[in-house]
Amino acid sequence: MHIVIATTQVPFVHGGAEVHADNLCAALIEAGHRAEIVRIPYKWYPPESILDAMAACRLLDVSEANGRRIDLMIGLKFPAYLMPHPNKVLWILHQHRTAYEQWDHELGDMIVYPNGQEIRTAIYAADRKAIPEAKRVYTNSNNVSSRLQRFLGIRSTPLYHPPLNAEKFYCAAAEDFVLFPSRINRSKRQLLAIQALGRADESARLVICGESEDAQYFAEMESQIEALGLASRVIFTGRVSEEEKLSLYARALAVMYLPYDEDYGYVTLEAMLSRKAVITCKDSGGPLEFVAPETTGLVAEPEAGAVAEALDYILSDRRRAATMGQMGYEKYRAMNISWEAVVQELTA
Amino acid sequence: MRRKIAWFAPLPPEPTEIPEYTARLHQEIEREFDVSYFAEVDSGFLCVATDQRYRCRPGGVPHEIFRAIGECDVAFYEIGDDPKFHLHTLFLSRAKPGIIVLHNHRVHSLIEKIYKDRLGDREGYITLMQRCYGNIGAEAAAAIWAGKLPLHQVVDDFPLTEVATANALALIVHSEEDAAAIRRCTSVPVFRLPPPDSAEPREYVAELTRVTALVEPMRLRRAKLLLAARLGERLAHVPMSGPVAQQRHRACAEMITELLGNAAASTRLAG
Repeated sequence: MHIVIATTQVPFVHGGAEVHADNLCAALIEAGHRAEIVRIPYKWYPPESILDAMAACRLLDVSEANGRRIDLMIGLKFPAYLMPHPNKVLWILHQHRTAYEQWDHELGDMIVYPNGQEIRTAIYAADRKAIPEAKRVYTNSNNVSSRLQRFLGIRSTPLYHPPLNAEKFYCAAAEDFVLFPSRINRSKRQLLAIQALGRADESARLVICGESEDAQYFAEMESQIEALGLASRVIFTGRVSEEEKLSLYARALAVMYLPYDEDYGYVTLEAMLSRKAVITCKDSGGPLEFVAPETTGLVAEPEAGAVAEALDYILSDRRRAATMGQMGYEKYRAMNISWEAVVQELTA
Repeated sequence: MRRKIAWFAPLPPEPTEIPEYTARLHQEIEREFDVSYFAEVDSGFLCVATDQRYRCRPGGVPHEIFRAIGECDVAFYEIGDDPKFHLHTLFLSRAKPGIIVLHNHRVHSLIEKIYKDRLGDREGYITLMQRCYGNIGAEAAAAIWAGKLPLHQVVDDFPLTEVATANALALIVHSEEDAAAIRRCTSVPVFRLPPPDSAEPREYVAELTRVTALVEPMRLRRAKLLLAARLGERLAHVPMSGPVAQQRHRACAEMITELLGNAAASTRLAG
C-alpha cells in the first residue's frame, strides 16, 4: 500500500511524537509498504494560528500524489488528522490538550487569550466532525482514549507501541543515582523531583537527562537546587547520545518519571526494558497503565514529601528495587508490544 | 449540569440602580447557576467570593480575570453609564466576549465620561466617533469635547451603541426601543427581558438560562467569522484574480462550513 502518515511538527522541536512518526514509517516500510510522513508546521500561539492550521490541513489533498492513489492515511496529531482522505485511520497521540484537559490547568494558556473560548469551541467542533470520518480510531494509550470518550463521546482503541531502539536496552549493575530522563519543561515536573530530593536521604542522587525547553523553568530549578544545597547531588546531562542514554538507564538504581497527565510516556517503557523500578505519580497519566504499584514501581502523590518517601524506599532496599525492575521487564514482554502488531492493526 | 457564570456588576451598597437589580435577582440566579461575582472598583475588579482585588489599567486586564472567565461557561457584563462602575467592564467585555446586559443602548454618555474624565484622551474620543460616524462624528466629538454642543441634544444621533455591542456573544436589554436600536446596528443576537423591577425573578432567571444555553453556537459562529476573516486576508495577498480567485474563496468558505458546522457564517468569503 501507499501510505501517508499525517502529523504536525513544531520546527526545531524533537520529542516523542517525532520519534513515534519516524518509527511508524520505518515499520510500515519494513512490512513492505511504501510510506511517507507529511508534517504540517505547527504554531499554537496566538490561538488564532490554530484556526489557520486547521484550515490549512482541511484544504490539503492527500488522496493521490503525482497521479498515483494514496491508499491509506494514518493521522497522528491535531490538526494534521483533520486532513480529508477516503481511507483514513487515526492513531491519535493526543488532541490539542490546552483546549481539553489542560483548559483550566495551570499549564494551559488558551484560557487567558481573548478569543480562547471561541478557538476552543472551534477545535471541539472540528474534532467532533473529523475524527469520526476515520474508518477506525486508535490512540497510543488508555489515557488518551478515556479523554476522547470523556470530552467528545468518541470511542477508540488503545494501541501500544515500543520505544525507539527497544531491543538495545540492557541492564547493568545499579549505581547510586536515580535517573529522570525527559525533555525539561513544566509538564514533566523535574522541579518536583528536586524538591523531593531535598527531603530524601542524603545518599540520594538525581541525574536529570534531557534538553531544556523552558529557560525560566530551568532557572527555577537551579535556584531551588541552590536553596536546598543540592548542587553535589543533582546532575544535568543535557541532551545525550542514544548510547549514553542506554547506559544511563542500565546503570541507574531506578527511574523517576513524574509528568502531569502524560499521554503515553516512553520513559516508563524504556525503564521496564532496562529492568528498572519506576517512581511515578498518581496524576501522571500514561505511566500508570504500566507501573503496577509495589510490583514494578511506586506510585506517589504528586507532592515532594510523598515522592521523597518513594525515593527513600528504593534507596533503603536496593534488592527490592532490582526485583521490581525485573518484574517490569517481564510485564513488558508479556504485553506483546511490537511494531509488527501495530502495523497489522493499522493496515488491516 | 449546573452552568458556571461570571457576573460583572456593581454590587450593593453602591449607589446606582444596578446593584438593586442584581441584589433582587441574585438569590434566584444562584439557585440556577454557580456564580462568581466581580464588582468594579476604582482601580480594577474585586472578586466578591475571595475579596481579592485585581488592578487594571484601561484596556489592560490581568490574566487572572481572563482565567476566571475561562473557567466559567459564560460571563455576563452589566453596562450602565457611570465610568466608576463600568470602565474596565466595558474594556473587558470587548476583550473577552460574553453576554452584555445593556441598560441603555445609548452608551455615548459612558464613553464620553471615560475619555474625558478618566483618560483625558481627546484625540482618542474624536477618532472613535470618526470611526463610527465618519467626519460628521469627528466634528460633533470636537464640539462636544469643547462644551459647544450638549451631548443630550445629539445622543440619539450618535449613541455609540456599537462600542458596547461589537464583540458581544449576545445582548440582553429591557425595552423594545433598546432592542430595535441595537438590531439596527449589529447582527449579534438580542434578547429582550422584562425590566428587573417588574420581572418575576424566577421567570427572569429562566430566560437567562435560555440565553446562556445558546452561548456555544454563538462562540462557534464567532470562530467561523474569525477564520473567514483570516483566510480572506491571506487570500487577498495571493496573486490571483477573476474566476480562479472566486473558486478558491468558495473552496475556503465551503471548507469552513463543512468542518465547523452548517451555520452560514462563511458567507463573507463566499460572497
